[in-house]
Amino acid sequence: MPQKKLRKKPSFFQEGKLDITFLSLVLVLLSIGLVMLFSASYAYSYTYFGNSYKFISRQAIFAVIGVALMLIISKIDYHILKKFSWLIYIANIGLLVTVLILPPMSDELNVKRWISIGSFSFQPSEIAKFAIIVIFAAWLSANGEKIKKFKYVVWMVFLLGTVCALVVIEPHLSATVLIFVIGIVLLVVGGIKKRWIIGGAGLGVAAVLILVFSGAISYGSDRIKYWLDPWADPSGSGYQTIQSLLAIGSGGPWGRGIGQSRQKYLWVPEPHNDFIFSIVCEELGYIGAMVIIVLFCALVWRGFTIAMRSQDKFGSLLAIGLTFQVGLQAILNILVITNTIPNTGISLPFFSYGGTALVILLAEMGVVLSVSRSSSIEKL
Amino acid sequence: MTETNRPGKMMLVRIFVVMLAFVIAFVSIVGSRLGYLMIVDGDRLQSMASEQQLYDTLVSAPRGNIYDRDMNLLAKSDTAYTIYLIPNGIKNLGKEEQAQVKNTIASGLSQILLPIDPELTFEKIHSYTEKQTYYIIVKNRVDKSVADKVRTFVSDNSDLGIARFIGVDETTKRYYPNQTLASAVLGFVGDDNQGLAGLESYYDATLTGVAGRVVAAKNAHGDDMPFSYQVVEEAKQGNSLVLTVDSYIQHIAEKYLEQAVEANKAGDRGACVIMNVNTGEILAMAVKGDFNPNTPFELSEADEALLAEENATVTRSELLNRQWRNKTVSDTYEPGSVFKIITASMALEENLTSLDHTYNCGYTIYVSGQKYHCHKYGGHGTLTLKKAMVSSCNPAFISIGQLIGSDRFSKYFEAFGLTKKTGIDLPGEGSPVYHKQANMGPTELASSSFGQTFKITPMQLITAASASINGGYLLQPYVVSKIVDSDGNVVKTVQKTVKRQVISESTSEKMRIMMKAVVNEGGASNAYVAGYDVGGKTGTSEKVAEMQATGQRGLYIASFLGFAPIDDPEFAVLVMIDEPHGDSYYGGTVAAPVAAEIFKDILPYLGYEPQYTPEELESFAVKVPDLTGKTTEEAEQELTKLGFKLKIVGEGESILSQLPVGGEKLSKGGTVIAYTDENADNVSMVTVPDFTGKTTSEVAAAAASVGINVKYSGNTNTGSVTVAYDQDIAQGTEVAAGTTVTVYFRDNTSVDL
Repeated sequence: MPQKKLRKKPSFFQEGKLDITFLSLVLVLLSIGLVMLFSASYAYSYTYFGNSYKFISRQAIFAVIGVALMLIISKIDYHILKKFSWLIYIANIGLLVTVLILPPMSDELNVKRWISIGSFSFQPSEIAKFAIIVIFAAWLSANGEKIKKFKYVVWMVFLLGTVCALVVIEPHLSATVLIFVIGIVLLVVGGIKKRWIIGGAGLGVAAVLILVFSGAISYGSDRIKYWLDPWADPSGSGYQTIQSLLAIGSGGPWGRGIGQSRQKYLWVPEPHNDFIFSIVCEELGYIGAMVIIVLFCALVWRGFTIAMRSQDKFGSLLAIGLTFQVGLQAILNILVITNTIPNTGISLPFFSYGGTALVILLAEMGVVLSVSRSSSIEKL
Repeated sequence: MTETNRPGKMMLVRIFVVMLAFVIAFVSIVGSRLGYLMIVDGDRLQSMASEQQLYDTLVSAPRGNIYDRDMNLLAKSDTAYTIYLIPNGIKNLGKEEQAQVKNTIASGLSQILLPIDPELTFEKIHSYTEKQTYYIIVKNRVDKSVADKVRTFVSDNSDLGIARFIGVDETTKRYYPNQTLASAVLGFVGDDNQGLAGLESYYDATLTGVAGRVVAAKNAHGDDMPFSYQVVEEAKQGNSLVLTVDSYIQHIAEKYLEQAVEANKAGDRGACVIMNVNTGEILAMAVKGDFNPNTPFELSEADEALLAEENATVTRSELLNRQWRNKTVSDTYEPGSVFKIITASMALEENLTSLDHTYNCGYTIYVSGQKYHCHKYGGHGTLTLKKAMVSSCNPAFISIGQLIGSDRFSKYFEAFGLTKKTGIDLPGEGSPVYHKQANMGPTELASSSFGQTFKITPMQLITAASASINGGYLLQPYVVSKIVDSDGNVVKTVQKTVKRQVISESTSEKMRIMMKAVVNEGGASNAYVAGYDVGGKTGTSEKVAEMQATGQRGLYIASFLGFAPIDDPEFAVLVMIDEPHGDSYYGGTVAAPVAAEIFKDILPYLGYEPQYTPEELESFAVKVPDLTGKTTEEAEQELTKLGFKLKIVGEGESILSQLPVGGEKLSKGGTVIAYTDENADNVSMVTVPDFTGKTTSEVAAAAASVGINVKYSGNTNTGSVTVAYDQDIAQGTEVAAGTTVTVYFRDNTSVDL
């Protein structure tokens, strides 16, 4: 097999075929996402910018850039990430500190989530997710059974905890939860002992509870109050949740039809952002919503399949972390818009508006595709 | 990279478990949550969403039309427009822009609307723009021209975007093309097109259509969605009414009634009902002074003057209510002698009397110590029932009443429908006030016999009297004959309803003979109509209660109830003039001539050819020949042959024009003025003299002396002393010589109570 030869000849690019199934799932989700973004945003865009295409045109440009970047990255040997894992982690810490130092971008004072460079802006927490996945994948694949030892568990939790702590004081609870859960999942897959999992989970829950009820008390407790009863303040704190539920309920089994949402006419605030799936539900109905959920599940299944067939642990953990991140974000987003969990700012991958986030997401999918090139998965 | 660095078996298991757990969690948790929200709870959430997204605008349905019996429009719905503001959108503008928008709207709209509503000043409209409401009506029901002006104003100021704050909605407006005609029957509508009086009120539910809806979607800012979503339910026009009323007959009734109300200075208006005695159809129902249903809240000039008086005892609302009141169905009165028709019917039906049965009138008659006397000083002596009716002799009718007795009297009173409302399809029917049998002593019976001390409505009286001459059938009077939907389909047809037969055919025939005698042999000679057989009975009732209450004297109601043709009656005309303050207050002089004029005009219209007696023909006007082009000698010859006189104006040889013109009718002995000069300035003008109070021959002399012609109308029977009481061209008017003036005559000696 020529494979042996190739392996001995380290190269920046790799030759294996990428996984068409995973690529297709990414492109299908991206396409649906773009169509739905246009549908959800045009009334809002028209009202506030006098132009129905403001959001979709910008998002489409980023999608094209993102897809190109994804294909390029898929060609690059992902092991380069292993080399730079520490650099990535430290740079990420730097960004997380920077965002806290910089003046807040949003109208809400004391909320520091964005860094802007020119006309682009991004959330360092997006990078943080990636950084944690890379550092954990690198460390776990390099250190094997060491993870069964307590001091290394502490070390890993320290790496994770530092990032989580910096994100939570932005404050950005949902990103914190995402990063934390991804880290834990990687530790679990990496072979941490069961008792640490249980203990860690307990600590995590305790930490979240402490944060919610002490650290950011006004921020958290009101959220919980209006989560339990959004109708207590239908025009204020409960407004967004109520409008989302009305949109979802309006969909019924079959939906109003694409483009036919009524709630997107300024009822649902910023229907192109976190609450885009409410509009999806209204237009496509339960059937359409479930099709999209199944597509997300399929993406996770295919990502994990790539991981299982990966030629090394690093690639495997990388694929798991990156696809799980997408799946987890999707499930949390839908739980938020259905008011199943309290409202925290969490976007829906491939759907929500946000150019930089989309490019980062597609770049990450490129990494998964890169892993797929060297994995022994059967390719179409 | 070594083989050991591949994921181990345990790791593969862990990856698989995590994947499976994730997929199961995702699909089950999210799937069930969405399923609950979208399918189980979906309808509720969707309806909540609809509640906030959709707003209903009711589109008022056009009211059904009202037509007369020949489908002439009496009331219709026209498109009108509502001008409204949407002020709460203005507050979203910048401060300077807000001020500019408010000023522009206030000045623009006040310029357009101030001429039609003096209240809509700049300040008033400016205050509307300050309001924090979604919808405020500036002016309801304006015409298209005004709506167009507003639309132009809005588009002229499109740079300010004021179209977002001003709206023009279509609505409907009631319109009565014939102005005051039949206003008492039609009634009028209020601001929301709801019927407030007359048929508009009685048939409000029928006329009101089903309002349509525009369900439009709005966004969270309250604006219509740019990508519009609208459901329109068409408004359904209400059903239309086809009346039994005939516009021409109504017009004739109103014309002569109004003349009489003015000439007799009626203190409390006048009323007239014309009914088909065989079907109960109301052909006309007139009240003067009435109102214009297009502007029901405007008072007549006379009423305004009354209100302006320093010591005015009436209020505006009292006067408004009075002008809206349909006197013919809402007001009760003591019918007086007209009621003798009913009393005589009872006695004849019970075979207590006959036409030739005699009574004695010794001027006074005592009943249980109460003295009644005849209107004829010294009494009538011995007289027959027929003569008692012709002379309207009260003592004779008191005797007849005593024969009938209170139990039979009450029985017939009820049988003639006088104890209950007639049930005519008009609102506000008055309830009769009468002596119940148990309370009816000899004096109550005596006064009731000649129509005093009880009160019924004119409608009840005409219905009861019609029964006594139509063969005995008490009919249901009605105004609406058909209800038609907006597509022209007949929804309901009203049929003649006979309530009961009250008296026999033969009694009824006797009544007709008597009614005819009343008109032909005195009593109601003023109701005589040349060429037709008219019957009837006059009445002059004292308004006893009103006189006692106000301390005024001389308050009467002069009335006449006539039938034609009396031998085979078709039509009944009831005329009542309430509180006449003219030369006379008697029914025979005040009301009977009105009925005569009405019959004279409507009978030919209804297809009854006049049958003139030779004497009538003799006195009748003939057509003037066309003399133009003829020489003066030829004209003279021709006119003399016809019994006319000729007066030539000018020096020419042949006649260029004449007055009256060829073809016009002129009484014999009249003068034709012929002009022979080309110069038209030569037309000589004369002043119309005052004819009232003059006899026919005096009128002829007066007319001839100034060179005008007269046309005689009303009671000009030779043998009775008739005098002119009105003329169609007022005294002092300048007219061309030879013009014809119609002069109305009546017999002032016909007196009855």
